[in-house]
Amino acid sequence: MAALETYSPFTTQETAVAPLLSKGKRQDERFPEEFRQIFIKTGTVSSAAGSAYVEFKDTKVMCSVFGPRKALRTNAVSADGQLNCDVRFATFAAAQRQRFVQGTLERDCTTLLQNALEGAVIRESFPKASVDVQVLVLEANGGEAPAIITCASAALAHAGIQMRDLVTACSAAHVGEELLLDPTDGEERRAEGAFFLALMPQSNEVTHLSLTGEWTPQSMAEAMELCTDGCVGLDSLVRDCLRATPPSRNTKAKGT
Amino acid sequence: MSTSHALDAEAYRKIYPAEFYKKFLDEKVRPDGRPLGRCRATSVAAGAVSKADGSALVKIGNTTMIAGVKLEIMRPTDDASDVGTVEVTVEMPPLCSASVRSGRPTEEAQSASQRISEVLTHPAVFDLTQLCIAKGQAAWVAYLDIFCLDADGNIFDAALLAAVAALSDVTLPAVTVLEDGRVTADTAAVAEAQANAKDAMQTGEENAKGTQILTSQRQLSLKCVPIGLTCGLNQGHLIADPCAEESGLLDTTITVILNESGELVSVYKPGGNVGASDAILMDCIEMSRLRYKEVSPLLEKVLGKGMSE
Amino acid sequence: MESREDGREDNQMRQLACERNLLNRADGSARWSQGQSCVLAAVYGPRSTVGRKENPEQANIEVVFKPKIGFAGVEEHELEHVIRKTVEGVVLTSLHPRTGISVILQVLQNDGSVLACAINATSMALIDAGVPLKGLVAAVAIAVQESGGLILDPLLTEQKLARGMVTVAFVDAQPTEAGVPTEADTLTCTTSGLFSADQYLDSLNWGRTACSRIAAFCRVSLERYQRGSQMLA
Repeated sequence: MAALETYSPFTTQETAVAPLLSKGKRQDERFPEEFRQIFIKTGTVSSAAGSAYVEFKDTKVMCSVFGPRKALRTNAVSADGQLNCDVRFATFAAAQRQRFVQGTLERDCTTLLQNALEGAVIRESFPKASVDVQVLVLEANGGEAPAIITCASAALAHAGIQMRDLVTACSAAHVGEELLLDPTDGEERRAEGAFFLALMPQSNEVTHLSLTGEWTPQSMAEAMELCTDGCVGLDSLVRDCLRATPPSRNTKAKGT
Repeated sequence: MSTSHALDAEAYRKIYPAEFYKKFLDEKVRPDGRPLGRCRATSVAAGAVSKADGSALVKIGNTTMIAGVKLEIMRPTDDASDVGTVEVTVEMPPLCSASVRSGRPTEEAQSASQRISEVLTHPAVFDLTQLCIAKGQAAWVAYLDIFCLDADGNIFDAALLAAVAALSDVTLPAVTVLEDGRVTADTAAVAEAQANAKDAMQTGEENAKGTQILTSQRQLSLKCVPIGLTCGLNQGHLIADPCAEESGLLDTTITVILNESGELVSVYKPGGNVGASDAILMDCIEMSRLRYKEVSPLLEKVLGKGMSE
Repeated sequence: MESREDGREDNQMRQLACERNLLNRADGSARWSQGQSCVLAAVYGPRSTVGRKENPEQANIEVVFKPKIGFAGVEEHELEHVIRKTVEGVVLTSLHPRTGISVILQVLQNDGSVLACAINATSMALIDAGVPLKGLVAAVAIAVQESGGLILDPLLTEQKLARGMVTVAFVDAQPTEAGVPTEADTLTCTTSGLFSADQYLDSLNWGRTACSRIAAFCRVSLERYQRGSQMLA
């Protein structure tokens, strides 16, 4: 059966009526440097070696870690283990329905996640094996990349994979003179510049940094500081959560 | 001493799964402590995804399914000009289970998609004319996507339950047709159309261009509510709601879907190593009836609808 | 009692016809018709299979179902799933480990009861290929009408008007007297539409009787072929 030709009756373009910032507060009543409500839970998928679920208010991300298990394609040259990341967006995650295939958005997020975690995961600890990190974004309302990276870190830690440090990530956007931490979807689209930082908070090393749009050196330094603080805050939340839940003893999933 | 016994049991479970399982079946119980006919704890929650037009999260034991409905507009075909359609897809993303590795849809997921689609598009279960906007011009398409978040056996029952809950959670927005023929749900345009219609009614005159198409907001409803139960057969024992470990040891599975009047919506037994006698099939149907009584209050509570027994 | 479109009784099957060994390249083939519905089945195997599909304990069974027009979609994949599980139920797969058995089905004409036709064609093609089987699989479809009555082996038009439909397959493991139903277990059952549990049980009974008749037809046809080839030798 041929695919149906359909279109959405809902307009996605928001008429830029309301200002992003009024009286020092954002549209959702937050302060510019305030994070959204964060919820982190590990052990959400029973079939996985490690799993985590992260919510940045209404951006919802779920991650499962499988392994170390037999790699599908072994690298003859290196004895290090493989870290395979895969990010998928649910079809109902964004405002417009998208097909459940590996599109550019998914590929970008996958590359981002891979780069951010490469620096932290000790691949020598699982030679000739692979650790698969599977992420599913259930709802995307801005800040998907930070949520994905934070979720993946929590899941890897839950699975007991050896890492140098947890990786947490933060994003910021600037509108005029103001810097907004953890922008929502609407804010991201209307911002003049976006800043993304993935950090290993304990060792204070950056694993990924990206800047888009217009930035002055001063605003960039401010954004760096803001995001670093954000990452440190996220890190302590993840550690609290991991301390609260016991590590996964899912030996069944590990051996597959 | 006790730890070595525990290790022995775990090793036995891995190396001789069939014999391990048989020991439990002989005592009419299962490794997780359930009697043969009991299903795992079930929960249903609607509105789990705010960006979707209708959604539901269902858990049966560890098996978790999340269903989301996205509404779009299509042009109905000539031979079905007054109906819309429901496109059901069950996906098992790699995150749900260690055994799902590649990106291709699993056979289990495709089978579940087709069977749920057949049930939900049957005129006796769901009236597709509800999705009509303007005959021959525009109709709603409800893309119902069901994702498995954790696969611990019995995907089908959870998927069907999530599908039913999500579909019932959908409220069709008020829409109007613009001059270029496109349907829009934009609140400003709809309000204008509503005002125009009201004016035309009040002044008693018909718009020279013809009345503009306008539909009101309404909740989708099912004509009857199908709830299913999957049982497995292992050495003649009928096992309700098998988990993943048990599923690998079954000779065959039988899925029975009933509606509130006790009518059979589907009896599905795809081959397998053994056949099922009439007695076993009747037992399955009976167990499905009991399951229906167990699950329908959960749906009722979530959807706030009265469902007649 | 209303007579049916083609003048049959409610519990009367259409004319059955089976032709075997019609494809040169296939290990086994059969063309099965029930009235105007006709399905061609080709069986390849047991033969060597791709590494990842290889099962060290049993033969790996694959089914491809091609509709009369168009490409195979989700509906056809589901039929493949059902037919594959049915075949797994009758083939002695443990006798041929590490091999693959492929069943290719092509719908030549669709006038109702296509799944039943396909299963019957598969059964005869498997026998033609010499694949070891537990028994003979026979399948039939029964439609439940709006009036509540049952009709056997419905036409496409009858299928569309029916309230519900049941397709069942039974394994016939030994010859039975014609007309006497055996207490055989249902191997495969798929239904669509709504009907009561009583109607379902009745259709199972009808199915059982009809399948034993189909199995008898198959055996007669095979014996005739056997005798014919012995005469030529």
